[in-house]
Amino acid sequence: MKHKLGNIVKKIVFVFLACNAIGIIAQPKKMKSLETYVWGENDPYAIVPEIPEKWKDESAVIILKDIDYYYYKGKGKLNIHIISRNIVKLNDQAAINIYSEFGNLSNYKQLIIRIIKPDGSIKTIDVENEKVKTSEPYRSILRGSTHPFIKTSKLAIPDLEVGDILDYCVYYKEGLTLFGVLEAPSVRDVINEEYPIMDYTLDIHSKKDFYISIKTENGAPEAKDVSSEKGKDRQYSFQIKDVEKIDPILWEYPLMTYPYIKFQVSLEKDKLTKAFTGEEKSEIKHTVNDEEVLKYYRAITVFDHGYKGSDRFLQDKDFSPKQKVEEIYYYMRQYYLNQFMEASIAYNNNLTVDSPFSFYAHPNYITTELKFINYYVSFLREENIPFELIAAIPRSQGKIDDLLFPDDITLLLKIKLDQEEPLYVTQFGNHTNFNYIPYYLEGNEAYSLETGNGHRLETIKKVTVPVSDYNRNNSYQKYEISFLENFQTIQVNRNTAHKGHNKIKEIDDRLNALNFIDEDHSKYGTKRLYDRLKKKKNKNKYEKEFPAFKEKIETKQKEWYEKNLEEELDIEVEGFSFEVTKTGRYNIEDVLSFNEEFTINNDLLKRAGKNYLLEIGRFIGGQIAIDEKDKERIQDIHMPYPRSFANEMIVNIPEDYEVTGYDKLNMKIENETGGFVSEATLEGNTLTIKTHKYYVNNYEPNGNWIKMLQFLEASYQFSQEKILLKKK
Amino acid sequence: MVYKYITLFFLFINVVGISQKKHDPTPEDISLAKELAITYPDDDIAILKDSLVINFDYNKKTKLVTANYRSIKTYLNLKSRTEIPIYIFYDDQSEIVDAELKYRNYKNSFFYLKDDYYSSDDLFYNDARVKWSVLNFPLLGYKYSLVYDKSYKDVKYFVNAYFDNVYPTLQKSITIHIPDWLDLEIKELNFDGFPISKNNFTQVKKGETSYTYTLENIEAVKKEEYSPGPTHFRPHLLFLAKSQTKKGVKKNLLNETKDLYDWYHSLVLQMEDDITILEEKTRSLIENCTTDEEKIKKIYYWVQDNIRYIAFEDGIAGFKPDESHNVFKKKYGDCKGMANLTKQMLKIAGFDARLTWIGTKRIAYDYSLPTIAVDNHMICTVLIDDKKFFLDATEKYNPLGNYAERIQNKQVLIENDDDYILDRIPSSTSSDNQENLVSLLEVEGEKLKGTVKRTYKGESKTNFLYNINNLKKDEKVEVLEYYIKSNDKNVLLSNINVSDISDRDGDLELSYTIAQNNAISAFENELYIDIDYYKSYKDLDFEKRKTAFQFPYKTFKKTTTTLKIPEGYTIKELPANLSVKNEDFDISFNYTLKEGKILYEKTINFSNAQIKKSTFKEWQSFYKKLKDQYQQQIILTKK
Repeated sequence: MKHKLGNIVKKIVFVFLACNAIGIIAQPKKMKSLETYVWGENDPYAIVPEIPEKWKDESAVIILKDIDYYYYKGKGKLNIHIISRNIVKLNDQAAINIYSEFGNLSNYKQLIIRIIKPDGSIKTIDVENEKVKTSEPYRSILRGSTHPFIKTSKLAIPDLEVGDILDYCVYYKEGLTLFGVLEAPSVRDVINEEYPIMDYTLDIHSKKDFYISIKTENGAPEAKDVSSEKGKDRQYSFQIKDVEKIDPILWEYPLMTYPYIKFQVSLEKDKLTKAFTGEEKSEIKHTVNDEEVLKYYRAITVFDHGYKGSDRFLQDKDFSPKQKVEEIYYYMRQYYLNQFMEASIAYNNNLTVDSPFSFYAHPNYITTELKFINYYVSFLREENIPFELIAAIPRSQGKIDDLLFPDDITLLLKIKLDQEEPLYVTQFGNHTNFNYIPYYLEGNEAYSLETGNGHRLETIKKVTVPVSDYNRNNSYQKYEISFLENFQTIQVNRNTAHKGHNKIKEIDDRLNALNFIDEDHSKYGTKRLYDRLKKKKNKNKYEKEFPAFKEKIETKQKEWYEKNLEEELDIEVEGFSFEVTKTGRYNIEDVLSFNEEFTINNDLLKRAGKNYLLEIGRFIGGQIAIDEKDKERIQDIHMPYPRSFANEMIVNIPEDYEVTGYDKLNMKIENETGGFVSEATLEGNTLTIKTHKYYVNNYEPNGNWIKMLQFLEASYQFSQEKILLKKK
Repeated sequence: MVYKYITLFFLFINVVGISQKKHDPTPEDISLAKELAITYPDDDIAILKDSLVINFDYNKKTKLVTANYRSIKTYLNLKSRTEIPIYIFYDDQSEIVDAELKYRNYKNSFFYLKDDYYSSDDLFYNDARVKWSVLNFPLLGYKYSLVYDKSYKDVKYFVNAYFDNVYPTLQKSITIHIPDWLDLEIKELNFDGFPISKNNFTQVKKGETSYTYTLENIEAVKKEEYSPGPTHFRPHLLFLAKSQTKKGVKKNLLNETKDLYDWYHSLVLQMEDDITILEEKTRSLIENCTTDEEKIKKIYYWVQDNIRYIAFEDGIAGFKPDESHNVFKKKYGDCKGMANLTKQMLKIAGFDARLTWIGTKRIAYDYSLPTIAVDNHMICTVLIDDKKFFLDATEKYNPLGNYAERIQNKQVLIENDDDYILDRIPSSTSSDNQENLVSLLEVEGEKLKGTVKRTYKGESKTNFLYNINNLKKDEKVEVLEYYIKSNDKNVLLSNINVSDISDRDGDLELSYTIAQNNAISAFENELYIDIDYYKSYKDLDFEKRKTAFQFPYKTFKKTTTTLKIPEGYTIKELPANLSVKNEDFDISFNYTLKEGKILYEKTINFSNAQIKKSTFKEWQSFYKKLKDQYQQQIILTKK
């Protein structure tokens, strides 16, 4: 049952992260014991209903999934209790294997279980006596950080057989210290899971002096206020029946397809509340309007930040406004983030004797989105550069009209130096580029907020985040292929160049933190950690241990790249070498490029008498092959972003051989959704094959699936093609 | 969102190790590390010296002979920077008295060892505990010494000591101080090929004899899949504490097999089985059975199907079976609990059923050695006249009379009141596990099309049944297809039929219609055909392998493919036949032409379920030919 608990744990994991002190909290009022609360006189599931005929052949059927969230204030704490009851009919051995063990039980989870046998008899499990410890509570102090007491245990459920109904309930208790906390973490639950559900119920038990926002999507019914008139308590109830299981499919966003419920409870309506609260505590907030978004961001943004550090950088430089906004982005990336990377590495790996951060006078780093926006906008405003603040939600999270929580929002800036060609900026990472929009926001409607004459945001409107062009998100790979030792070995030289989103996806893996440190320091005049060290023992340690550390990282990376290449081409390689030729870190249009050299033992060659068949198609890497059943998909197609992949394979044919069959490598399938085009030409002893695969859009309606299949199948077929090297 | 919360502290976990100048490597250590890195290119760490000093004592309170040792290991870093985990195991019967990590200059590093339960995938719960940490070597040539003392409450739990380590070791020494009052036999095992020296120091200290074994320049033990158990090949000492003589009175410890049996039997006698709880179920199971065999099958199969195997090892419970009524009620148990339930149910049914101790194939020892290290498993034996049925209910879908490879030919210790019976589990042959694949194929464009029939016997069938019966009901067909296709999208299947998957006694049959795209490449007037879809064992490369390879069972696979030559074509080239035969493997590839059809026959027979290290050379020489064979194409040309 590890995965079952895992689902709920995921939902409240942020609670554990946010909370250092885990206290023992009283159970929700009125509850004498969990057993009587769940299985007491008023249990509507005292008699368990029959499984519908249509689900008789399912591995398991969830008869009931009933989750209760309790929110109430205790002594200096916001208490969140979750009681999750599940009744599951186990129809086969696979279901027994999954449900028969509960792992990761801990001292802040209570579990009760009973088994309903096919004859109706009920066996209650003595969980406390049956469970076994998996870790002892321990407390250790290691380099200043304290590990909390944790006691975990696990349970094998006795007497569980195929045909049984398992009725179990997990009770989690969590307390958030009220200092600075004005809202509970948001909750979002997709109803469908790997087994069908007969009855799903979710109840939120709140207080009349709390705010509540609830929204249901994709055909899920609305939650109802079922509170009684009297008392301070409030209860909201959501129920859905007859939910089919999820069958995961490629290119799908569950939150765009399956019914789900999301909600958040807030204690107060304050500018520090990280939630959109309604006007009245008595009303369920179902939507967030433009005015509320404006108000929220007006309250938390500070655009008159006084930092003048950028002035020093701009001094004596004759930048155009466009150059200026770009150069300042990279300067800030270095000043507020990357200049501390060495210290971070040194801290985590003991590379200096004293704490490395102590060598920076007042280290000021930007690691949150809001701080980045505040600082960068302050610069824009000082320079009188017009801009819009865009508040967008990822496509995988739904539409902007479905917005309910601020934590779904990603902020970006639209700089309007040129109305026709605006520039976009998002929070920097170690290798991010200026004028870049995260792929997950592209194409979604978003809010655009603008300031008036003052420092505050004044207006709001809806805009659509532009979608990038597939040509901009390109990966190009050039292979030079030769045969050595009478076809015993294939020598390959591969050059790869990534652009756009393909680059951003790859760049963190292909560069290590130590690749760029020196270049960045000299470019922006920041001081290396080594130059900041004063004591001789610190310098000595650094001089010895940094190079050793770097060597280790590079060795590990090279091993990883080799493994990656082997997985990509599904072959074993030898004599691997790797070199980054361009980092692409200073301009979005620059490519990230690297060279790889390796040999393949004759894995890609098949012998036929004196001739050889070369599996040339495999050099374009594994292609998506759609299962027969998935060809009939009914869902729309949600892809990450428009993209293209080009390959050029140059095959040097040995002198005494000739090549045939390359005419089959000429393919051309193109339509409005994308295409696959390949072309093979022979000049002398050199066979050159070029391929181009592209996806025009990041989204296709289901009706276009048939068109996508055409080029997907063509590229798959190409990957299976062989050419014949025939002895002259 | 991706960049919403960037952490500056993103690289690597915290590790132990604070280096200061006085701990920095000496030039000598650096040059030694460089030298060793050439000798051991695949290793990051070498152990310069590993010494184990073993002592024995007598605890007057518990009246038990105790054992303790001091271990000192000096590690040297062979790479620029290395982090390694260090573990010290102990359990209910042992404790780690003291553990220290020292720098090069023998100053204590005051490092912190975490202490936790040791979890393993094989055991749901066990009492093994581990003290562990991650050790950081910041520079090439950096050195640490790990020193700890471990003691055993009872000498019978102290069983052996190995010479090799997971890192290459320059010098390993094991010193044993044996007091005169203790009769301790030391078995020297797997010493062949290792120049281990032994020095005997009699009476250096009054009242004891000491031995020191030394081995130098030992390669690291590599973790490899499908390896034999360590007692089969790693050099080690096995300690047999046979008796103690105090004040002229001799007391046997584990002097002979009988002593071991007596202890096991005493634990069995402590059990309080309440068999009344099992009676109703047992009687209902056998009520319509007419023969003994039918009754045994009913009970044996019921335990297999209804008791989940969950391994618990907790102190004495690691040796004492759980009571049958507990296992019956819980519907789960470990091997001992399942063996005991099988025994008690069979006894209710009127059979003479006995608990039976056995060491699986993983253990090299037999019952001539009186040690608890000799066995690791329990089954049930039924005696009918002179015949014995061995029942291992942990082997799901195993038919009566068939024995899993892991227990075949292994000695068993069968309970017999105050005495015991020694016997051996019968062996099967690879043809008992035969797997056949017969296909009739023809050419259609660049496709191969036809029908396939596959049959499974013995362990190949048991294996298949176990896997398919543990799949979700609604996904069985899908997963079966995935298994047949090996996830190859070029293969299209229809008419999949499988015989009764609940019948473990008969053979299993699987048949389907197949269309295999891209199996043929057409060039000009010629067709190049890849006739072998399952290129079995094409990755069984032992170039770097150090240990013998063990198959899950004795394997015999026969593939027969008949390919109809299409109209208007004739054979231009057939691959050459290939065969090899020796004591571990017998493999042949044959191509014949018969009435316009090509008959391709492939037979693979691993009759011993292993390829020994001594046959590696032959395997590697054959393996090159095998890879080449799989690349060969049949060429047809237009007439």
